[in-house]
Amino acid sequence: MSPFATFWRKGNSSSSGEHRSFLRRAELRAHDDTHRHKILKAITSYEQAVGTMKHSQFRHWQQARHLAAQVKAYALAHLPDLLETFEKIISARGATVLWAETAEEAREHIRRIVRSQNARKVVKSKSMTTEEIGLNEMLQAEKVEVWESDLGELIVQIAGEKPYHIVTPAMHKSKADIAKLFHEKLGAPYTENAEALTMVARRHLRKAYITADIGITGANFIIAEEGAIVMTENEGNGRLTMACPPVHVVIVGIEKVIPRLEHLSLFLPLLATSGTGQQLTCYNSIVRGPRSPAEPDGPETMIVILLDNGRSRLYGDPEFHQSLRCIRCGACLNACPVYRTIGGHAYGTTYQGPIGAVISPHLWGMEKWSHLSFASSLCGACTDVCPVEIDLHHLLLKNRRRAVQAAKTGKGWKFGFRLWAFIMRSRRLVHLAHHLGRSLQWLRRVLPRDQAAHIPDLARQTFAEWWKQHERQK
Amino acid sequence: MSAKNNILRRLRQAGMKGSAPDLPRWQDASVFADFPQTESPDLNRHFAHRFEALQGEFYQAGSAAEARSRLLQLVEKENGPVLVQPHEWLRRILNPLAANSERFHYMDAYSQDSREMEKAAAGITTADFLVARTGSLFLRSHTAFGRRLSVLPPLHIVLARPQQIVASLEQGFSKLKKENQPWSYGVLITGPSRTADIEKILVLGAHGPKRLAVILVTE
Repeated sequence: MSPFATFWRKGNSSSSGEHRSFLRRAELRAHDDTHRHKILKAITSYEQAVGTMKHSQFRHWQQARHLAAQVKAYALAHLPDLLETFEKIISARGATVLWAETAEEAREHIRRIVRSQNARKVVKSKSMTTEEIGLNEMLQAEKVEVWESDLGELIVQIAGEKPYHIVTPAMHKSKADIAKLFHEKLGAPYTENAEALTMVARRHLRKAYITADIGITGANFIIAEEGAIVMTENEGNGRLTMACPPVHVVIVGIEKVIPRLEHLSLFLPLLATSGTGQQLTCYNSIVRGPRSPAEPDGPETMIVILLDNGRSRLYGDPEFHQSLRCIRCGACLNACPVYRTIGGHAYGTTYQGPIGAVISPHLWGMEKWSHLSFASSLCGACTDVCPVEIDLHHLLLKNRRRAVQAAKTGKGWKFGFRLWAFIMRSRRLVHLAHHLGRSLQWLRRVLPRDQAAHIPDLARQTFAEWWKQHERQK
Repeated sequence: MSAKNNILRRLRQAGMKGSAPDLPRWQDASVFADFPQTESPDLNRHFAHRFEALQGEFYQAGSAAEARSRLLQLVEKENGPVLVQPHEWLRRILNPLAANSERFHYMDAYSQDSREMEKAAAGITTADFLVARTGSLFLRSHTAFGRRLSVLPPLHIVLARPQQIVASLEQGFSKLKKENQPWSYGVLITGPSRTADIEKILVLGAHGPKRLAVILVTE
């Protein structure tokens, strides 16, 4: 491990187990060229599509994201009223709305639904909230078969892994990886043809939709005044999950509210552009309740679980309140140089990348997760790409401040910074330190070669000395 | 104290209500660069162009007879029954086909079992509106005969009229708001089903229909 990382780790007081594992995984991934190549390939293709679409679809992308930020800010400001409006309207149509303060409460709601339905089989579409609450593990404990229907989620489920990215969960898998997986675990003939592999998944899942007892989805938006949830996807597995099983359960974060149906005319294109560089995602479903009496099919029972799990805490925090605007597009992950280097699994949390680093300490504990906010160069690329104008990199900085204020920072760390500040205030001391350092830099040789490489040569003169000398020469 | 009350109380205690300005207003025409700048006959062309760019199959039919022959052409490559939404306008166009062909069945006289629907070659429905800017269609469960007909079969065929094409999403949604119908499910469809989860390679027909066709009947 590089000397800086070691020093940093010792100084940063939250040297929790999570932090140590994070550094270990990050180090491994940073040196894994194959992995980095795969990620770069995926992100390059993403960037081309998004760059083109921002120009071709929007007159002024900045205007569009500003409007979206304003709508989200309004929705958040009125969140309690809008949530009650949503509940009232959708309940009048026969849906049941349940509220969950914690992940455990959400799991308990679903456990009760599963037991009351005697459910043996559940089909689900891709949903980060289901990851957040650990749904699959709970269902397995209840001896319920869980079928992940999104292709990316199916791939990671079969591989026994967690999702790699909030939008493209299997971004780290090559065709060959997937071919091997499907061949070994699904008994499909070995092929690296993307179409053939997709058809394997399609056939594998067909009977799941038709025979499942419960369909579970997330939601991209809650439309308060319409009493509806919106689900965005390309594959159609979500549509089938909401069409075939007799029970539809939606688990959605309380912050997903937008006020009116017409706001979708901005948010659907915005999400598609930032998320995948598409003009619109293939299927945007608007669900207003269980099947109505005149309809020939659809679930008889619809249950919406509104999930808090720390969001109301973020809500009450004036600095971090804006992080709830997030529409989970994944753009900040793709823009982040750290994410590009270490990938999604290194983070060890449900939500990766900049937004994950910002919210994880507030959802799951500052001491446990603040290290992610330190693992950033604060380049600001995330803030730049966010379609709802969340000031992500400043929030990372604010997490750092809180972590340091809250924690018992090491005495050595405090002393080191005081010494540095003392030296920096005096030009003479800076020069002294510089030349002292130069005379001692041969000591690098005691370190292993790849670590010594991190430490550059010091210049022969300080800049001030060089300037003075050249001014004289003029 | 229930979870709901606890959550709402915490949210209200934060006192954020006055923190945001009023909702902004805007029009799609001023936000979207690709907003169709043409008069209504050209909305057909704009829609067709966007729809085909998504690998949708677009046809115009000047008469019911033309629509029928186009339909037969579309389904000939697929095997199995063709399931039709029992809509008055569709019946007028398709009755000659349904009468003469073993393949065509109206859904109100057919099995509702998903396993039977799975064997279908195609599902035929109307649409609520079409969007020129994005090449999209909007269907609702009470007009498209439920949720499954437009998503289970591998080919989804939509019969539509030029008057149903609106310039942008904004107009489509405001149309919906004007009515007050008891629909439980609506979907904005933009092209056939697709995925790029495998190395970003675009594959059509992931779980939803692999083929999506629109026949615009202009008679």
